[in-house]
Amino acid sequence: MISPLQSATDSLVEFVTGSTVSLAVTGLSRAGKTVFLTSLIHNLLSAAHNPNRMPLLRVVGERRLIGARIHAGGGQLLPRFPYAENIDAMASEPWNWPRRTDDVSEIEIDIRFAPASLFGQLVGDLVGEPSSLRLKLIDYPGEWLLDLPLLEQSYAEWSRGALALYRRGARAAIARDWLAFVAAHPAGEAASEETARRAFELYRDFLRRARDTHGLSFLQPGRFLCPGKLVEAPYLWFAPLDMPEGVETPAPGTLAELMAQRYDIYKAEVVEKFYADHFRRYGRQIVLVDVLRALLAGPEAFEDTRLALEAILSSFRYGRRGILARLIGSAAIDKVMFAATKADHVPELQRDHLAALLRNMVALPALEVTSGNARLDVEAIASVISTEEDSQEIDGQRVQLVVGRPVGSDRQVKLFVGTIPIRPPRREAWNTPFLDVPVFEPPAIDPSPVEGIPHIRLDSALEFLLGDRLR
Amino acid sequence: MSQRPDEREDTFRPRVIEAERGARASLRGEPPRVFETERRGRVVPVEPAPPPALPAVPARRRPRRLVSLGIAGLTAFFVGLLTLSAGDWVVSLAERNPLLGTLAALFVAAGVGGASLIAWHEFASLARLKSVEAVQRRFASHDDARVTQAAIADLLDLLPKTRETTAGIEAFQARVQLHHSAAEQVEIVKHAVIRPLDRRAEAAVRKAAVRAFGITALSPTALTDAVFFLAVSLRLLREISETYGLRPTAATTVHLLRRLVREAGTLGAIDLVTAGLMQHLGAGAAERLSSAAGESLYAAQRMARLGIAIMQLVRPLPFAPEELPSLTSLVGGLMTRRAEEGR
Ligand SMILES: Nc1nc2c(ncn2[C@@H]2O[C@H](COP(=O)(O)OP(=O)(O)O)[C@@H](O)[C@H]2O)c(=O)[nH]1
Ligand SMILES: [Mg+2]
Repeated sequence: MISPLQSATDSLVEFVTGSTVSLAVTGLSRAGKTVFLTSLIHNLLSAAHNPNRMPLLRVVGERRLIGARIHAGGGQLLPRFPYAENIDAMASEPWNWPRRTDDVSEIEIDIRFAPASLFGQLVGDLVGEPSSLRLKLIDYPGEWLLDLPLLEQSYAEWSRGALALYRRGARAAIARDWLAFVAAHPAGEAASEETARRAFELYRDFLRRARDTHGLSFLQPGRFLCPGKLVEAPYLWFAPLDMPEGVETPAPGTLAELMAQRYDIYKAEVVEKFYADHFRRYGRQIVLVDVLRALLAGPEAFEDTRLALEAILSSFRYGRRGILARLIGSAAIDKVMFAATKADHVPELQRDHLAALLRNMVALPALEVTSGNARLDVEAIASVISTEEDSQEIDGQRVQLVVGRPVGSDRQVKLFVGTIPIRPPRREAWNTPFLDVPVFEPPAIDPSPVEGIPHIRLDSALEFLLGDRLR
Repeated sequence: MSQRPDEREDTFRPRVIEAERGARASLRGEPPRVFETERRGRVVPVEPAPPPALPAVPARRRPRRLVSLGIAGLTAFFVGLLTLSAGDWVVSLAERNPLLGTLAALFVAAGVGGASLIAWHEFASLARLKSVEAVQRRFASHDDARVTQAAIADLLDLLPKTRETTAGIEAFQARVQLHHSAAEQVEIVKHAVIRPLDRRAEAAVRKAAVRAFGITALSPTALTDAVFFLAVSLRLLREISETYGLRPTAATTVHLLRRLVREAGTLGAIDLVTAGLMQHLGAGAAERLSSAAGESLYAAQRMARLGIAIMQLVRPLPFAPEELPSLTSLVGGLMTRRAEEGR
């Protein structure tokens, strides 16, 4: 951990020079965080050579960018974000997407630019150099984000909430084995290492199935799905139990007490540490949401995504002091961009709908009321365009759609996504779930940072998030 | 003429109107699906067109008298300060040794005088060129091929007669056909004739940047810094103008000159402030604010930005946004070289 003194000096230096900004890239697993970071870095590095790729980022559009490069500094706590490896995966045969993220990594980009204002020029002159901004980014498995809400809950509360959720709808079927085990082992049973471990294994298997074959997201704890560097130690062997109403602290010697102890260790050792170490001093945040997939996968998946987002957002709680703020002293996020990712799966005419749907999904107007002076915005983006616009006759009607080539196939397919509503559909208006959204291969990409990567409104999102720091 | 009362009431009485079941409505609930195609090969994505670019010239602000008065005051202050500091330098040398002092005074006088002479000469040769305004205006309305043809002919006439332009003009004449539209002709002129001139103007900018870099690193006082910077930028203005065979309009020349003076002024003033600060803050701060090198690099970069601005002002065919040279392409080399030396 970093000492409070050091962090205080760091913040002071940053406050005075205003030269560092940390961008929190937030999103559930598969929302597109890794691809977003990779394209963002590649396009920033390329922008000095090819300014036409990001005209809406004003420092580029106004030709004030001198250059951007990856900060080579040594004193990093975390592994380096595998930027080059990710670009390589996309740019070389067989063209594929970056690997799934299984641990946390970080990267810093130094951006040098000519200041736009006379004041900025004066300051720049005083320091004897053009202005520069260091952009700090981290990448991590999206599953871990859902650990944040645990910090506010006791074991008993968490157990009750989890069981209520898992006994409903499609989850009940996926969780059958584990629910049966819970029914056979009441909370008051005598503590046993063997039973605890069995409960953990059954619960973890359920979480995996729910994520991998049913596309659900609201699954806790995140490290059960994606342990990272965590070795499987006995304190991880816990799972929710059927806690009777009104019982807050389990009786000594019971199975529930053992579970509750482990749950508390998990919170203190894993969750708090992770956030205190890596989510400090975030000034800006982008929340990536795969709105299209949630919409196409049907009401249950949509509601699941919405719930998960709500849980995460309530931990950040802008303007007011959310969990995160209390945990790390200060977290003044003053700009948040909600981005509907993979907008290249939707023809241009409907992209606004995607953004509008996200606006309603996260209840932005309500969020705006509670978020003090933080600025929020919504945009539909694609970090990497891998489709072309096309049209197709359906029932005698010509409709716009997109065409792309699925990974590993040699023929292009057209994807028609239907009409994107601007509000979550009413109960009777849902189509049957459509889960086989093709994974289109990435387009031809120049691996050296010269040409950049085609994108949709990545520049505009960046301008909202960082523009004021690049004046 | 007048409607019967009951008829009007009828019009506004609530009722149900059967909507036509348009094709749109029927597609509304159409489920998502995938269509196979016979096409092979990779897709070539097209980025959605960015919204129309902002107008290049910002809207005219209302004159703010107080502000301009303030700026005038500040300018006077800095000019005074610059002169004083140069005087200070001379005097301090004179105290050590009268001969040194006299020499320093001569140097400063020679420097300032020489730079002013250069400035005057550049300005005079600039005034001999034809204003760009008329040319740009004739190209602005290019729907009539014949008008454009005449405009192109006049433009080619104006261009300086170097081997390069002559070759370009020949290439243009060989390529252009009767059936080419006005826009196509302009495109061909751009490729054959103007682009090589752009390259030449860019080279001039690069050279001026290197000059600004070198002079700022060598010049002893802030005053000479400022005057040299001004001379170099005026020379750049003249070189670029001659490259295109045109000079900026009277109004833009005034605007440009003001900008040149301001840039030079801030550069000098900053030098002063830095030097003063360093005396007060001691060695540690000196290291941080450091380095003549940093300052000269910055001078180079500002010169390059000026260069781009000048090119925009005097090019007979206005730049399309993607044609503008980037700062990196102009001073990138200087930067990386510095960075490598710094390691
Ligand atoms: N077509 C397209 N697919 C994307 C884009 N961003 C992400 N994807 C797809 O979504 C998958 C998950 O993205 P990833 O960044 O790994 O998600 P993460 O788990 O949030 O890091 C990728 O493997 C891609 O198939 C995009 O901009 N366009
Ligand atoms: Mg990832």
